[in-house]
Amino acid sequence: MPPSQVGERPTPESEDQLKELVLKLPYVKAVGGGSKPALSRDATISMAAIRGVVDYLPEEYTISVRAGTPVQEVMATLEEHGQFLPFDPPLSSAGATIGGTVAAGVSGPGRFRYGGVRDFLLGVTFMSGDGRIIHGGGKVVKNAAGFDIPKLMVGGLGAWGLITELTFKVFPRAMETLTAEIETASWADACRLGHELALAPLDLLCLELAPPNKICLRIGGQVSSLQERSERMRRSYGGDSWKQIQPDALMWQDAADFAWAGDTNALVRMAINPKQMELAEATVTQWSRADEVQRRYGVGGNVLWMSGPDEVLGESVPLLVTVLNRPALAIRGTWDVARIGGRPPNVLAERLHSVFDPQRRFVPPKSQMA
Amino acid sequence: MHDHESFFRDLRRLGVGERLLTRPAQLVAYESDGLTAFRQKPSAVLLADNQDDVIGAIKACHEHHVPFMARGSGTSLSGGSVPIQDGLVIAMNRLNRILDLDPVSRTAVVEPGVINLAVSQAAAEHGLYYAPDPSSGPVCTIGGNVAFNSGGAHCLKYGMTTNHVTGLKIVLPDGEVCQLGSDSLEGDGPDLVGAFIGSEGLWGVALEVTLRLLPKPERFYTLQAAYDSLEKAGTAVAMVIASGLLPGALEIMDRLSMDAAMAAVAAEYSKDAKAVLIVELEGPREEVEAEIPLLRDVIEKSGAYQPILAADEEQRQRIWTGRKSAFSAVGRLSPDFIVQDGVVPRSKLGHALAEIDKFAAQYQMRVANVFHAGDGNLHPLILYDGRQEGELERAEELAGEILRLCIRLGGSITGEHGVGLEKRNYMSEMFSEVDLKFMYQMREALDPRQLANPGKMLPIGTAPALVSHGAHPLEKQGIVSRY
Ligand SMILES: Cc1cc2nc3c(=O)[nH]c(=O)nc-3n(C[C@H](O)[C@H](O)[C@H](O)COP(=O)(O)OP(=O)(O)OC[C@H]3O[C@@H](n4cnc5c(N)ncnc54)[C@H](O)[C@@H]3O)c2cc1C
Ligand SMILES: Cc1cc2nc3c(=O)[nH]c(=O)nc-3n(C[C@H](O)[C@H](O)[C@H](O)COP(=O)(O)OP(=O)(O)OC[C@H]3O[C@@H](n4cnc5c(N)ncnc54)[C@H](O)[C@@H]3O)c2cc1C
Repeated sequence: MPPSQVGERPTPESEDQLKELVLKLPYVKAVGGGSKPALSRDATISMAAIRGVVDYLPEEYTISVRAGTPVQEVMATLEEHGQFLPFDPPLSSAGATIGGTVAAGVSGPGRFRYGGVRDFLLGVTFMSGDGRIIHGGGKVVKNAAGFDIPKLMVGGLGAWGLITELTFKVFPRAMETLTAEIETASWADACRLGHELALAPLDLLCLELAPPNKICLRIGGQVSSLQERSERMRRSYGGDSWKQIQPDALMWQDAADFAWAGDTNALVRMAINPKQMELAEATVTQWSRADEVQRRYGVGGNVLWMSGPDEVLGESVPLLVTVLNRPALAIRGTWDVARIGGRPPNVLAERLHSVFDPQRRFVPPKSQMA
Repeated sequence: MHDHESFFRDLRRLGVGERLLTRPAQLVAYESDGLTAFRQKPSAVLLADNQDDVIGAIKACHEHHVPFMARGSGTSLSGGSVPIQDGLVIAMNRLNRILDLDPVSRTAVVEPGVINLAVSQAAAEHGLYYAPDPSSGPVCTIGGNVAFNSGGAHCLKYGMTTNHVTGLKIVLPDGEVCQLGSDSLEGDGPDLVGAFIGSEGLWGVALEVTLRLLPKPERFYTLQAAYDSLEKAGTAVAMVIASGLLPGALEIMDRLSMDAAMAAVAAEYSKDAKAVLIVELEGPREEVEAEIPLLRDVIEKSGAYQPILAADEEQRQRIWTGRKSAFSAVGRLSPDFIVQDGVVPRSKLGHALAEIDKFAAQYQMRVANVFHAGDGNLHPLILYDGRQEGELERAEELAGEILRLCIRLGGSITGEHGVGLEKRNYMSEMFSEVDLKFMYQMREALDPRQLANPGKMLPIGTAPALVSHGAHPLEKQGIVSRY
């Protein structure tokens, strides 16, 4: 078993090696690709060698991959058949793995139209805390048999098992896409327009809001229809500020990679309700170093991504967590715990977790459960 | 159960009065879910009026070791809502308020007894709708949908119930109340909402459900094409998929279903067609217009004849009425039938259908097929006559062959109807011993006393007697039809 390049962690290559490690280590924490350090700084095992596409059936809209496979590799494989992961997995350029994406439970801009990582995950194979290999879910696009175990891996931060293999539903990519930006007079106007766009039957693929006053939207479809659709939207919603953005694909890849955030900054995610966008901005803009904090409201205002220097976010995010009454998840930066604001213990989660990890090997020694 | 009386006394202390039904005559209506051959009398039925009733009842059940089962509209097709012997049925229908419907966050918070279709009706004024559309939509409840992760004709593109629920308030089998998820589309932490959905009542009872609503598509385009073989219709599905189009629905009916639909609702199909394919495109009007020539081209090349295009909403409804009535119509061809809902990989549809034909010949029974071709979700209807000695057993055996076929082809024993009582014995063929044991352990961790809907999904316990009793009363009245 060669040591991993990052931090000399053991890098098991087989289920047997994995099992040996799981039963030996007092604390088992996986690291995938190194893209969400705040979540895997304390990792004790690298999953990088459990890698590769296991089975790709374009005609079935399904793909099975090992957990340590870089998202980029999965995307490239799908691209050959004009297909994609509709939730636009974030941080692919930074080397995110598919296992880490599921464990972190994060989705990118495309989440708006068809759903997030939870909605496209069909099946999972993982090692439980007592060293058993468990298969949950199925390998076909529709399946209602048995408990939906794969869902517990989504956002489980590695505390529910070491994921070894994942099966996803995939979709055909739109023939062509088109992106436009709209500027409004104020943030309140941007929020209002954002709500209006989300409510209309426009079939938007992505809808994001960027303070102080910008809306970014994407549509996809046949080459012959997009200009007309865009023209109709411009007339109804855009007005003079409507601006088509090219190249469109690059812009959304940047969005999924948080290019706006800056590499050295901390990065934090909060799942919110679209109605909270105004309150969130009103709160953040009062901070003394607000100008150093970048914000993006994704998925039509259902997720807030925030970036800034460690010390600024470290101080202010907990305040925002209180104001919005929503926990935050640290993705990058220096944090004591990944989940800021914590969450009240949940009985369902606690009871189930005792089955997945009876010896609590997957739970950080001094933290609460994920 | 040892001591009914002290249990009933505790229940009455909740102030449920006349809403606790214990007389045998009152219980008859609850003894089956109507569509399967299973029957069982509960020891009592509680008509819950509010969440406190449900929580209080479950606490009493826990204390007295009485098994319980929540019941929505009792439309389960897998025996999921057949009562537990000596158990309590908690009827959820009166918890039927839409608590909140918010066009800005595009969510609705509903009580579990709310009828599926009522959500879309309430959302319509905002141009929104609730996507999962089981054909039992006019009667089944959101609580039942959550328990079974129900689907409909639009699953390929939009997913099942689980893809449209963001939050849940639940009561666990020992009476503890838990809030899962939120009113955000995005989750944080392990997806407990998703894990609860499809747990078939074994993890407790849903008290409140937060649903995600979608804007209603601006334009639909519905096409119906005839083929001289089922295989060609299956190939056409593959060709549509390969073309890169993502239709809202892709459905196939076989000859027997067509005959039935023609007799029932004057649907029109060409006389010699062996299969008919229904494809529906939907989206913004320019988009649909641009996709139409592509779709027509594919359909032409697929060897279809007599394609019927729905020029307007009325024609569209006619196509769907034919499709949706097919099941109840098939029911008229036979005194009884069993419906299965196994899934196979889409590319193996042709093979699966040919095998089912062989089984039918071998068992000398008629099997009709109406199914969600887009996601490989078969709905074979096995026609039999329960009054004939041994027919039910043969039908069940034939159903078993079909389930095993689905497993062999790499699919699933159920796409949307759930395992229930009916398919629990096939769980061990779909899942390994280790995986199944893990599910038992999950159940054990949540419900050590095994009180929440015991005997369903996981293969244990004694099955209630099989009793044949024909079509669901609602079906006989023509209110709903089976998919
Ligand atoms: C800017 C930057 C700076 C870095 N600095 C350092 C440094 O100073 N020292 C150092 O040692 N490393 C450093 N790294 C590497 C980094 O700590 C980890 O290697 C990396 O964060 C983990 O990869 P990831 O974010 O892809 O994790 P992910 O793979 O995205 O992991 C996210 C979450 O998923 C879990 N997870 C991942 N894979 C699985 C799986 N198969 N099963 C179950 N759970 C899984 C993880 O435990 C974690 O909770 C740095 C990385 C970056 C990008
Ligand atoms: C004519 C017909 C057509 C159908 N078409 C489809 C279809 O197209 N697609 C499809 O997927 N299904 C279909 N079904 C099956 C059925 O309608 C669904 O399974 C539906 O979700 C059941 O809802 P219900 O309210 O009738 O639940 P019930 O049958 O009353 O209960 C079903 C299960 O849910 C549990 N349950 C009920 N309420 C709760 C609650 N609040 N909390 C926890 N558990 C609860 C019960 O304990 C039981 O296990 C059809 C059925 C019929 C009769």
